[in-house]
Amino acid sequence: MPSTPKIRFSLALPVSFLAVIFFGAKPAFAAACCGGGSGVPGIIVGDEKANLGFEISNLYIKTDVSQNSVWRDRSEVDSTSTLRLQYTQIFNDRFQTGFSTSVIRRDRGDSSSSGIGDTSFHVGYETLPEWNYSSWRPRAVSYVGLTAPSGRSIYEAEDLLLLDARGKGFWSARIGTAFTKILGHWNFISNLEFVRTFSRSVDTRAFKGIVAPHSSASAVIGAGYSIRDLTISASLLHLYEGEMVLSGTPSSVTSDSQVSTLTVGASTPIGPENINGDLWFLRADYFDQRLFGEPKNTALSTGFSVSLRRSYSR
Amino acid sequence: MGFTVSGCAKPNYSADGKDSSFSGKPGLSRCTAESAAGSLCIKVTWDVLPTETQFGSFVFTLADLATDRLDSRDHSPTSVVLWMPSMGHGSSPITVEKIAPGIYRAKKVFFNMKGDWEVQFNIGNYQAVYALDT
Repeated sequence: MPSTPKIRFSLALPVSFLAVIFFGAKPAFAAACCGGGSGVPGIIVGDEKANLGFEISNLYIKTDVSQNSVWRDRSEVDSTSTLRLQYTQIFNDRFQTGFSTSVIRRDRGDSSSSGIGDTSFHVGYETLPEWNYSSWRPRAVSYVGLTAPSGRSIYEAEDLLLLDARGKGFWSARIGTAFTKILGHWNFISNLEFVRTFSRSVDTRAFKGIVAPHSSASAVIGAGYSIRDLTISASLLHLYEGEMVLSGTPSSVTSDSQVSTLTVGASTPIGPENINGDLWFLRADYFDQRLFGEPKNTALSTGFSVSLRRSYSR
Repeated sequence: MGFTVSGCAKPNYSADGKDSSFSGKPGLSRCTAESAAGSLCIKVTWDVLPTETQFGSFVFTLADLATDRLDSRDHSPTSVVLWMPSMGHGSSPITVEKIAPGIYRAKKVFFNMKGDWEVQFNIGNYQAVYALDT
């Protein structure tokens, strides 16, 4: 514990955007065809002691993009509704831990399927605290995490349309760092994350053997502007997933994939602060994967989300 | 890693517009697929093209690659797998029935997403792949 008196810059309005990374961005959506249920936990990058979040999102897959970056629109849209629960808690001043889990419903035509998605855990550490004012130095939180394949994957899916695929199907570990900076009414955020996914055996009608998955990387940049109680924000996420090696019958190597997601949204506190300074925030986002970057070997979706977050003050 | 973002997306839609197309057309006189080893020629004729909502079916005929004559030998077991190599998953409860010696019908053919697919033929000791673009 440093002996320096801590001066934390608690600007209430920008925090509504910055407090929990990933509530605005949408890295949880897989680039692959099916099962976007990998949960990415919220990382506290503000001054809270804890965060409890509920998010409802709806995404619509409208376009498939081949490994050669050829686009094909679907005549029948695949929709996914997700109810996500996320909780993150600060401990020992600079450490934090959290989890995220979800219930997912997928629809296509007259068919639907629902169940739990993947579950994520993380432990973070505030690597660059903001104890003194700096006009340039950001605050940073580094973290490691684990995702458990609690959602059914395409390898266990029984539905013809793979609607019961709600998860990635692999254990994965990730490491990342989130940077934030508040400058007046503006706030900025970025995040870099690397994910290592572990291989597993698969026994399906079409394939029997070992699937050795890709590693993946994602980068987020975003900015927000606060006007009175309202913070308007935009962020861009780029996700790259490497190829997978399938050893068995048949053996093959998949293509790598990438997709960029633009998210625009607004956030505002709702209701009064209680005596401890705890506060509810309401946030709405629109996201679209068809606008930026060079998508490859992926399904493109658009959608919206509404989240309610309880911020517990230190 | 090919980690690239290059501004606004530039959609490159398939040449046929937004509809499915199959490179395997009915009535092919040449081989649709050839066995990786050996001399087996497989000719595919679609009965019904699969759509996003309906099963398709096709007839496949085995022929000698050199003579183009019907190969009526017993090649059991015979199976067909639909496989999307770029994604690493398959599709469909596809079934195969023998119509006559050397002639089979694959039914319940369904591709659960658009893209580059392989129809993998496992015919006795022979394997062959028919690549198509759905």
